[in-house]
Parts: sequence; structure tokens; C-alpha cells
Amino acid sequence: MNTENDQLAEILQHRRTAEAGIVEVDAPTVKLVIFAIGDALFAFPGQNIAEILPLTTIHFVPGCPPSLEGVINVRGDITSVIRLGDLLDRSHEPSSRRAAILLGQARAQDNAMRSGLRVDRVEDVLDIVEESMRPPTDTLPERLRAVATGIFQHRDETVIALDLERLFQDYASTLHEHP
Amino acid sequence: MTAAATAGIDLVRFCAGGLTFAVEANKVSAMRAPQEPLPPRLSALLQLPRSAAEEAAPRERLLDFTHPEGTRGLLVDEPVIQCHLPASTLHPLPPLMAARLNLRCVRALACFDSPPNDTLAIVIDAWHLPRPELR
Repeated sequence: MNTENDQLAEILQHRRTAEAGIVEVDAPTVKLVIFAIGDALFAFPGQNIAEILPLTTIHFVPGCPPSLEGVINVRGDITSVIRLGDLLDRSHEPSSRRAAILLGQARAQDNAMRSGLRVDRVEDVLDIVEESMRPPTDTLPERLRAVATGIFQHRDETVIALDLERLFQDYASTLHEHP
Repeated sequence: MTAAATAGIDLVRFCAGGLTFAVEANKVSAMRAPQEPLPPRLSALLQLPRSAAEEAAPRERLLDFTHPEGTRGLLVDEPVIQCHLPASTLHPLPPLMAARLNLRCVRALACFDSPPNDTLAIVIDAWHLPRPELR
């Protein structure tokens, strides 16, 4: 008998046993797009983000509030671009190659709303177990608390999950005096 | 949909404050060299900053607009071009922008060419421009 083969057989057997030992937990998960504005991490449900675009030419349109940077041309479609940091009272980093535009889509006030959301960088797109999401704390700033749906940990950092539909709704109705 | 809605529209395209604008051609009655008394500048009405190039060598044109209350003049920057745009290049304002825009005169957006060389024209309604500030 070949000793090496014996060793291999042993390892394979061990691996089979180990794999058999994995218990699949059918815990509900939610897909999230995690992104950064300044040094803070936020997330939107994946179902609300149609596309992640590199920062492109944003065309200025007069008469818009400063938080509405202008419009972009996405393969022939014209979409507005919002500086998301302005809506969350967070300062954006200077533009870099990592900056991105999240193409957000939501139903707000019975209307399908779609807009680009400028972020400083996209960190990750992942599924997280819903149970790992904690409710937002009272210590969050008021503007964030209004649109936060939960808090979770990602690579030892706190991420605030946001409600895009609420964000769009508030922005369109100017419920909060966004700049 | 009517044939007119699919055929497109004739526009007059021009610049102001470094941006490209357009108006429906059937509302423009004339284009002239600027002459006293000067009508309001579009860039001033929309509170657009004038670029260094414009300050250095302004090449302006006076557009006359037909209006129910009489002809109204407006100073714009060259080039002034009449063009026909197919309906597919005209876009309504995105919903969030329409909700937050504070200028009634901005009606639509029009795209010329494709990214990254695309030009965006802001289609304005000359009948709903802000009134000039009284001095």
C-alpha cells in the first residue's frame, strides 16, 4: 500500500466528513450594497440599486438645490444625480477614481422614482442574515434616524442601512429642508 | 401618439453662462445683433456665473420671442443654431428634479451625441423666464 495514497485518502475522508458536518441554516438574508460617504458606511437594499456606475460627466441644470448636482446620460436615459452626503449631513471626500454613482430606484408616493446617488466608494455587495441587523439607535442624528432601517457590523465597522424609498419621498416632498 | 409627437421638434439652440439651452423655434421671431436698450441676459435671469471667456470676449445675440403680451428680447451667447431634434432625444425632467427645481422655465432636457462627447441642452420656455430684477 502506498503511504502517500493513504494520507490522501485520509485527508479526503476528513474533508467529506467535515462537509457532511455543515448544517445549512435557512436563515432569511437580505442583499445589501455597502458604500462609504467620508468615513461612514451605509447600505441600501440591493433591490433598490439597479446599477453601480463610475463617476461620469454630470451636467449642471440651473434652478436645482445644491444637493442636486445635475443629470447624467445613462445609455440614452437622463437621470438626476443627488449628492447623498448632503441628504445625510455627511461631508463627501474630494472626487476620486473610487467615487461612484448608485442608480437608485424606488416607488415613492405611488410614482416610480429613479435617481443617481453620488457616493465616495462602493465597499461591498453582499447577503447578510436579517437577524444580524439591529434597530437604529436613538443616538443617530435626526436626519439619519428618519431614513435608517437598521445597523449591522461589516469587517468590524458599523454600517447604517437606509430606506431609499423614504429618502426619495422626503426629498421630493421637501419634508426635510435638504440643501 | 400623434405624428408630431414622434417626428420631433424644431429648436433654436444657444449658450448662456457656459451652458447650452434651447427653445422652441416657433417662439423665436428674430435674431439680431444686440442694440440699446439691451434686453435682459439669460445668464443673469437664471443667475448663472459668467465664465472668464465670456467676460473677455462676449459674443452675444439678441433673440426676439413672440409672447401674448408682445415681443420680448433676450441676450444669449453664440453660437445660435436652429436644429431639428427627433423626439427620442428629448427627455422630460427626472421626477426628483421636477419636484425640486425652482425655475418654471426649465421644461425638458435634450441630448446631442453620445457620452463622453454628449452635450446636454436645457430646453426652456421663453414665456416663463424669471422677471428681471428691478434696480
